[in-house]
Amino acid sequence: MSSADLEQFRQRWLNDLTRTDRDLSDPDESSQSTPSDTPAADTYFRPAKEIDRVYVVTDPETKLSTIRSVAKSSNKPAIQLYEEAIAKEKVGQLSEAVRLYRLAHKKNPNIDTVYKELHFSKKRNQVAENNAQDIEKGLSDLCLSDPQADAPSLFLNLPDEIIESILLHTALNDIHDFIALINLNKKLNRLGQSAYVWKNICLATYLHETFEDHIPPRELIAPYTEQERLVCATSFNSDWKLMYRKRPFIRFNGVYISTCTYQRPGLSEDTWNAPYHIVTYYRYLRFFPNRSCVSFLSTHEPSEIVPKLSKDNEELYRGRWTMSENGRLHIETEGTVSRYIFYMDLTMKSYGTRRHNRLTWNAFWSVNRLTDNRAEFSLRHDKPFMFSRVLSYD
Amino acid sequence: MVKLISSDGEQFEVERNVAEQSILIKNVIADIGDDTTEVPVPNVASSVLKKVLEWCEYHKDDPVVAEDEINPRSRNIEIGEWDTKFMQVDQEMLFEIILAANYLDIRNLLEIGCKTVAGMIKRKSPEELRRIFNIPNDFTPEEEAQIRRENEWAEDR
Repeated sequence: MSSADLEQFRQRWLNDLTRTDRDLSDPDESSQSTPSDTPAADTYFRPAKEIDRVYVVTDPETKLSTIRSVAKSSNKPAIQLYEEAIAKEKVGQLSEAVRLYRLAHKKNPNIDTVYKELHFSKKRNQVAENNAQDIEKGLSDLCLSDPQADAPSLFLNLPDEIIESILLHTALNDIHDFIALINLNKKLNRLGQSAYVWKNICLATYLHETFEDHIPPRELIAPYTEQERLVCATSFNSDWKLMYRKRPFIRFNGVYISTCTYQRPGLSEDTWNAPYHIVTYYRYLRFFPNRSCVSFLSTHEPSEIVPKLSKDNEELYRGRWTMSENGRLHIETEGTVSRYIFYMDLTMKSYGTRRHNRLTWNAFWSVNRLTDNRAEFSLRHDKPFMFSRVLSYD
Repeated sequence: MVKLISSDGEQFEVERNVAEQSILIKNVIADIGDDTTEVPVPNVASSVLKKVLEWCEYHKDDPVVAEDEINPRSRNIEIGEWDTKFMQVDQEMLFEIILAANYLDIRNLLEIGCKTVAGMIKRKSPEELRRIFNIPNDFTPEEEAQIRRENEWAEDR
């Protein structure tokens, strides 16, 4: 090969490289703009997206659709594939997630960094935007009600007991808003430590009052508040804040989900491959302050089920719950067959940096209403429940 | 009928059961023992008193709940539609109503006022909270870091 040929080849190769790069960032745009730039490149090299379509098709009738979907997803930019993969992974569709991750990494080996930068900066921009809007709004409010920019805070000048009451209501709405508020200022921080506030947070969090029927395993020995005071005094040195921090409690502003997967061998037509099915199912538990709960078992993903987990949904199984001081949770629910009652025995634990966010299994059984027979379920596939906050449940 | 006189001298004539939503006024009337007495309300301006009496008029037939019957859980009950509308006033008026309810001892109104303020705090960033309520940062950087560390445990979502 002469050096001129070599140089020409090199030029085409470089052209092609830059073209493929653009392809990855935006395939639609590049497919329109590139042919005029490098007409010859196509004859030597096919862009990556074309190569993906070369499949050994043994059974065109059945495999055509999968190839189409593969070809379709491989046309997407890497970042989109990566986002889809994350979404799939979140809901437990692991094999699909792995496929998309691989495609994304194939297109751009540094896609994880790109993703982080994109989403991090997105959030930052959003915050900045919101702030700008709020400042504008705040300014207009200020001009109407208060011409002095550094006027004393009306809020901080309220009597202490009123501020405490506002702090308490804030905490009952969302403990994180409360913490954010008392981190702002010395006075708020001091009032936020008050026993009145923490006692009432605890009384609203630990619900020991009587409830009907046969589930309460413990006798109520004293009126509700008196009993809580006793627990706090004996186990937590009468420190309500410490009790809230250490003692497990059920959260009502979200859902507990157990994502279970198991593999099962599939049937194969030949001896060349041995297909395995990964089956994913979800157990959903949502609790309510009146000691009731709803339970649901489904193969449908959280995004589909979570909005439907309301008290009034007839399709769900209703139940009751009770929790002991040290986080042992008993749940009694109805099930698919009305003859049986289902019992779950779980323990609340902390996982990672978060507190009281995980329910691990101790036992799971059913009781036949007619015969009183008890049947244990194997917990082989069942994974712990993890808590997820759901804003719409507020 | 009871005649209430605001701090700026304006007179408000209301039915007895409206005025007696205020435990303070109820006690004053019980002490004096005369229905037609004028009751001065020296801590409340007429604009605020007018608003408070509007609330008392609407709620005059509400059942009375004793202090010890309040369940801590029921604190979480949402504010009614009428009260939500009633509380849609500027911040200064909102705090004036809260102070008046505190002074006149109208527990439900005070409770609704505090809940309304708590509602304004909901899901706001620290910067937004500072701006909305004009809260200065009086911590030294060291103190602020320490407070943050102390409250770290509560920051999971």
